[in-house]
Parts: sequence; C-alpha cells; structure tokens
Amino acid sequence: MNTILLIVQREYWTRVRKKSFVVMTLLGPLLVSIFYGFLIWVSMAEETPVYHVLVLDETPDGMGEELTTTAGDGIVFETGLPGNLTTLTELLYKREEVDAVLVFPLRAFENPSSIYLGYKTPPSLESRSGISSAVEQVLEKRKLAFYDIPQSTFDEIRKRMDMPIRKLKESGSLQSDDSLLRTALGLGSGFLIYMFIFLYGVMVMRGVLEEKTNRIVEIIISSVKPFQLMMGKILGIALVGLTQFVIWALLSGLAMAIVGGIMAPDALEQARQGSLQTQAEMGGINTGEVLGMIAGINWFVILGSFVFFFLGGYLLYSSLLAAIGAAVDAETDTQQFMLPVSLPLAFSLVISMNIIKNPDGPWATFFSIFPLTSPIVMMSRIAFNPPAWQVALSMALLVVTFVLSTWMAARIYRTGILMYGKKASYRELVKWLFYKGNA
Amino acid sequence: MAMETNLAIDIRNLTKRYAAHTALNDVSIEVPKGQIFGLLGPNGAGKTSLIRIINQITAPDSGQVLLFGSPLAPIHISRIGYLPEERGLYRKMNVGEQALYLARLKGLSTADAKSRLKMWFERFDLNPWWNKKVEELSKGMQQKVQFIVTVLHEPDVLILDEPFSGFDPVNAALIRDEIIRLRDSGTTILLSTHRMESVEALCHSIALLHKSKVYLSGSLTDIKNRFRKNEYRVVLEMTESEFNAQGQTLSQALSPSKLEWAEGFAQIEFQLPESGAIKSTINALLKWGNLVEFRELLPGMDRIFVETVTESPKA
Repeated sequence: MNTILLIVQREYWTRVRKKSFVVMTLLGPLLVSIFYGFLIWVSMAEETPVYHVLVLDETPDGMGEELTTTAGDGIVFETGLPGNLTTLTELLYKREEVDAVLVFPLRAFENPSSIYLGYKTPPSLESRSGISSAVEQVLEKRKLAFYDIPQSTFDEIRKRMDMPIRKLKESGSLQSDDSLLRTALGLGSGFLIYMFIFLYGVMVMRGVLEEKTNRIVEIIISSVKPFQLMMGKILGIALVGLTQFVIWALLSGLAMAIVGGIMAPDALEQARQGSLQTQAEMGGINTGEVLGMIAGINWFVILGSFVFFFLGGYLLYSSLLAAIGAAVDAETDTQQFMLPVSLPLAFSLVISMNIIKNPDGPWATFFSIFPLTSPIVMMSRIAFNPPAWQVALSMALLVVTFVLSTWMAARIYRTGILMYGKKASYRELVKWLFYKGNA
Repeated sequence: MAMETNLAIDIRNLTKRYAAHTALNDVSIEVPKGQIFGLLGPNGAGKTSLIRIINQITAPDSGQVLLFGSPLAPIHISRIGYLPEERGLYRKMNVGEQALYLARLKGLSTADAKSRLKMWFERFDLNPWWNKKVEELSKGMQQKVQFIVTVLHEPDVLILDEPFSGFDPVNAALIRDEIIRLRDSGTTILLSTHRMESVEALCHSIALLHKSKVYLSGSLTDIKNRFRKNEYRVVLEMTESEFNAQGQTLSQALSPSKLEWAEGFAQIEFQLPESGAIKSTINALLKWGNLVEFRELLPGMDRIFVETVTESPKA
C-alpha cells in the first residue's frame, strides 16, 4: 500500500476519533448559534443609561417645550426651567444626575445653528444623535407651520422610495437583483476559507511539532521520505477539515429544512416556480424571491472555485506552517515565524470586506490574483463574475505558488525535523533550503 | 551491479558537510555480513550523520554506500531496521495500533504485521498493553515497543543507536540476548554506543570515529593487539616470609606497577621493555615461587577509546 496513503489514514483516523473532534463537530454549530444568540441578547438587554438634559429656552414662543423623546433612546429633557445660562449652569453642576444644558437662544428659529448643547458629561454617540434629531424635529414642525405646509403633504414628499433594482437580461426580461446575496455569498465563503486555513494549518504545524518533540520522527523517516510524511499529514488533516465542514453543512441544512418546514411551506412552493417576475410595486423582498435568486446563481462555478481556492489556499499555507513546525522546538518559538504567515491572511480578510464596494477595482483585482491573498479575495469576488482571464491567472498563480511553497517547505522540513536544540533564524532557514537533499 | 560480497555495508570515502562543519571526512568502513559491528566515537564525531546516510535520511556530498554490494536505493529501506538514539512514539496513540502502523510503513501487510506483533508482544510480556495509550507505558516498556518495531520486518541489517539506554539491567539483558539471537540467525548489526562493556561483550569488529574521521577500525582482537603494551600479570604461590624476603629482588627485576601478597599468593603486574623477554622472565619467576598464572594484560576498549580520542594518534 502506498505509504502516503497510510500516513493520510493515520492522520485522519487519530484526529476524527478524538473526543474533541466529535464534540466540536456535533456541538460546533450549536455553540456558534448559542454564542450569537447570547451576543444579540446582551446587546438588546443592555440598559441605555439616561442622559439628562436641562433645556434653557430663551425663545419667545417656547420652542424648547416641544422637545419630545423617543422611547428607549435614554434621553430626558427637562423643560420649563426659569433663569438664564448662569443659573442653569449652576444647576447643572449642583445636581449630580444632570449631564448637559441645551440652549435655545432668542432667535433660534431664524438662526438654527445658534442652538447648542453644553455638557458636563460628554454624550455618547447614541445620545448625540438622539438629541440632534429631537431638535431637528422641533425645527421641522416650526418650518412646516411657517411655510404653511400640511403635515400630510410633507409626509408624502418625504416618503422614501425603495427603487427596485433588477437585472436586465439580454433577452429583455427582468430578473430579481441578487447582488446582496452574491456579496454575502462571497464574503461568507472567503471567511470560511480563512477559518479553514487558520484552524487546520495550525493543526498541521502542531502535528509536525508533536512528531518532533516526541522524537518519533526519526523512526518514521527511516521508513518514508520526509516529503511523504509532510504531505501525508497535510492531506490527512485536509480530510479532517472537509469531514467537519460536510457534517456542519448537513447539520445546518437539516436545521434549516426543519425551520423552513415549520415556518414557510408556501415560500418553498413559490420557489419551485423558479425565477420571478419583477414586482415593481413592492420594495421588499419576500422569501420566495430569495429562493429564486438562490436558484439563479451559478452554483457550479461558485462551488467549483470554492473547492479550488479552499484547497489551494490550505495547501499553500499549511506547507508553510509545516515548515515552521519543523524549524522550532516548542510552540512558544513559533511566534516569530507566524507573523509573515498570519499577516497576509488577516490582510486578505480586511481587503475582501472592502472590495465588495468595488469588486472590479484595481486593488480588488491585484489582491485577487496575488497568490498569498487570492484564495480569500478571489472567493469574495467570484460571485460578481470577474473576467475569466483574471480567475484563470489567479488559479494558475496559486498552483505555481503552492508547488513552490511545498517544495521550499519540504526542504526546510527535512532539515528542521532532525535539528534539536538549535534556535532557527530566517538566515538558518535559507541555508536549509540549499542543503543537499535526499538521494 | 550487485555482486557476491561478504560485506553487508561497504562505506566508501563518505564526506558530508554542513554549513559550519564537516560531519564526515572521507570515511570508509567495511561491515562484514552476520556480525555485530561496533560504531564508536565521542559525541559529535559523526556517528549519527553516518547512520542517517545509511538509512537514506540524508545524502552524502561525496562517496558511496553499498548495501550487500549494490548502491543505496529506496528498496533497501525495508531491508534495514533502525533504532535511533532520539526515539519516541505518538503518546496519544494506542500501543498496538501504533506498532501496526509503523510496521506497515516498513512494507509489512496488516496480517503479517499482526501475527508477528502477537509473537513479539508475547515474548516481551506486552500483551496486556496492546490497547493502552503509549503515555501510560513506563519508559522501559516504550523502549521494548520501539525495539520490536525495529526488528519486526526481519531486516537484514539492524542499526541500533544506544539500544540499552532507558533499560533496567533485567531488560537490558533481554535486549542483549535478542541482539545475539538475531546475529546468530544471520542479521548484520551495526551497534552505536558509548558503553564499552557492551562493545566488549557483543562486537566482533569496530570502527572508531573521531573528528569526522575513522581513527581505528578492525576486529576487536586486532585492535587490542595493536594497543598491547607488553603488560603482564603474574601470580606466584609463596609464603609471606618468602614474599618479604624476595620483594626487593622482584621490584628491581620487574619494576612492577602492582606488587601485593595476600593469602599465600603474590600478585604482580609489570610491563616488559620488549616482547622478546618473556621466556627469560618466566624462567626468573619460576625461581621465586610456584607460578600459578601468567597472562598478558590486553587493554580494555575503555582505555583504547580514551587514549585514541585524547591523544589522537595516527589512524
């Protein structure tokens, strides 16, 4: 039996049978949803502290009296106070619960920019916008009255429009807009690749380090070539990751099917009718339309490139991480080599969040072709149908780079795994690249 | 081309350089078939580098290694069993599963590996541990597992680097007996060790590496002869009064390094200026008392090792 296959088998089985793997695979999605639920709950349950504002109203017709607050924004306006700025300032500093004074000068209506807030405690971002909009509302009402415009007319004028955005096909038919879905899809799969590379790349590094510190490595490489051991480990762990993702996907699919079955049997029926006619009069998007969009995306291309960039990126990074594992004696020593590996990864995540604004801009184009960032950045772009030559170039460069990085990693690995008690520096690693190799 | 040879390992002019130093400098060693061959040398002499080249873990810069007459090739991997000095096992893996894995990496089929492992586990009293994790085993037991894995595929050449380290005397004896048994069944064994008593007890020939070169090589007897210093040990039967009376004469005649009397016997150790004087010395000794023992003191490997390494005489 092929030795690489044996190694892959061992790497796979020992990991998949671990309790931690089983627990993470089964409970992972649950834990993630509990975590998000908790986050949402925390942000909702969070009490907004009350921001207490004294209103100094010098206008002849009591503009300040009309200030209203929206429930829950945590602002209290205290109106109808007699006195001037001096007495209110005194009051502000005497009463502990008061935070600021809002001043409406005499000619506030004619000169709205003379209205100001003077604070003791700086307002939070939320309080700032809450106070501003309260003031704006008062002004608005006054202006409507001044120009004699009925509120209903104003509301009609101000009515927001959700312009339908549709894809106009060559045939002349319209199709629902799915660019938001594409964005989510691109970002989501880019993020998945990022997670996968990080989680399982580091697992490769740990595995290499384990073999080195266990001192089993010399026994093994007297039977197999170091390259075989390294590749076996990388491939075995890739399978572990794929297994985990497939199980997660199935579990999520199952959960969605259950939720969908309970909540929206009609929507599923609608989706079966395929791509929908435009519903110009309707701004919102219904479930059926979403499902229609899902049907409209070229899943073959998306899935194909996902698998490609997923594996390409993983192979590239995990070989570098394997070399790092081989070069050091303990996990604490990996830091100095981790930076150049984790930096482009984190960078590509940031880039892909930004390129969704302009998926065909020069930066997006460059980083989706540059091999260290392409797995994540190109994946974020792919849903926007980038030019085929760019995708092809990106893929070709990725293949060339991972072949190169695997070659380099194998050379560092081969020397590093047998090197104990020697602190490797970058210079040392370069030397290892050029040692004479195996026969 | 493979030809008929009585050499198991034929190392020819091997040189291996690393960036900062030369690990092996024109090293040639011949290891005959079916022997236990000692590879000696102080730390850093190049033993591990040499062993790794034979195992095809690294490649030499120049020179050649022939295994049974043919240059090293991947197929030889399954004919060699290697027990490295720095050895360990996957701590979290089951003992039996791990042994099976390592055996299969050496090319054994699952069925073969299983039946052989069963036999060896029986022999080494390891059966109850088959399903335990390695980390639950004592160091000595782990060493036993490693030894089994090294010999399981019945290699023609066995390379053992400090095989006795980590063993208590009982288990060290067990391993020593296995090594001898393997030699008797035709396995060639390259034994790298610092323990000179194991070398004396087991090895037929040796090579001593020092500063990346071969300083000494040949059969143990030849080497000891080369290092003989015409030192002899004599035991004469005589009474205490006889000893006291003749002590002066003895001292003058032999200038002994040791001269003692105890319970009716005088023990004398001395060095002769040249080997030709044995006969006349014996004749003289016979006059002094009843000669019960006369033997040449051959230097121990310990002394030869230290002398070679510290004085660095010509190879």
